[in-house]
Amino acid sequence: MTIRELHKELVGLAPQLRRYAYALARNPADADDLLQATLERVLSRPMPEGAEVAKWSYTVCRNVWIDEIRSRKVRVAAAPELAYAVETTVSSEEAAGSRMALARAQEGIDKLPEEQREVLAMVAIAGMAYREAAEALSVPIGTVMSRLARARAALAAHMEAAT
Amino acid sequence: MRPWTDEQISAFLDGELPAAEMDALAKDVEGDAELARRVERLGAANTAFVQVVSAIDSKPMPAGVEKLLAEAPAHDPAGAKVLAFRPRSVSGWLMEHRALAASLLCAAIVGGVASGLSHETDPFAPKADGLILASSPLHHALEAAPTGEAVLISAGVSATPRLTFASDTGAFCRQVDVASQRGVTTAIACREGRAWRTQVAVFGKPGSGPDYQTASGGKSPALEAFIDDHISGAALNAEEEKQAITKGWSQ
Repeated sequence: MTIRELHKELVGLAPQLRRYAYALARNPADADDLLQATLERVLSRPMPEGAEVAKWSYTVCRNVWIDEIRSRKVRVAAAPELAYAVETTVSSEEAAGSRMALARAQEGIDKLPEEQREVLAMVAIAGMAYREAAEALSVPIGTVMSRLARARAALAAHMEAAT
Repeated sequence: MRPWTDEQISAFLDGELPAAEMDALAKDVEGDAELARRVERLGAANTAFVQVVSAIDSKPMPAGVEKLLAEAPAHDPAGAKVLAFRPRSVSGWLMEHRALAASLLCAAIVGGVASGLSHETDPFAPKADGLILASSPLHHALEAAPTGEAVLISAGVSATPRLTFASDTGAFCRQVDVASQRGVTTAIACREGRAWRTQVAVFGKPGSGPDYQTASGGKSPALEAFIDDHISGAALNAEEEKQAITKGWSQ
């Protein structure tokens, strides 16, 4: 793959990669730092032969997160502002309900153990197969299944507690 | 019917159960309301997760990233494919089970998250699979509005189709601006069956003048790349577009 082809794939991948970065970082500023560092690294360093750009980029993103961004620990607090970023063009009652529900979901996500949130991001955002997530995390597929189910059940329970 | 664990239901939503178990669970869902509720419950949690994470779409890409993405290397002709703006897993199953999907999106569990966002506030971000519901005002705008015609889709929010083209798969696609006081989301949605599905979307803040600017000043690399890679022939002219609308977008 040429650098121009790689660049073009990254252009299409960037929005999804940014969501993945946000799922890991839980903070928009850290997510954008993570995204930029990921793109720079993918563009500037050799990619393993035969690797798919998307999968490689998610791998790089996770590595950058673990090795660099997370270690800063400067903005680790959750960012509820995103939950409130939606516009209020519906009735104020509906909008308030939407904001509250989003904020509640955000709370629930923030309460998830990191290993559960991470695997949920891999599968639900990055679209990885269980086998791919298991390889990336160096855990058995059964562990991926278990973490996913527990993450979804915990998030559901948190949201139900608010209704 | 057999007892199903949360792990199996979760894997079912991701399409990760063995084929025989996928079929068996799908069959059991049809006749077991409690099992259907459990499937919806985990599916709704997954949808909420995607929605919360997708909220970052409402912020413009940072300048450094925009610059990085806009500066295509000067050599080598294009040829790479743009990855689809479409996560795998839950969405695919939900698309095949529209009744459940509809109830899921309106589920009391999620409450206003889905119903409040999906139609009026952010027509593009909330769905895990980019689907624009048929009941959405945006769907109607994509169905009927000619290019250049602004359609009010909710209070203070308008949708204006900007471009219509046939994709390399034969589907019609439309670029549309959804503008409000906060800014404008420019997206490309393509028709699948009787629905429209968002393929790529970018957000820009309001400009200083009467027209809003997209995140990269009118030309988003992501949008341009998608069009370059998927357009088949030239964009439809006004007459061709009118015919497509009249025919209900059937080829």
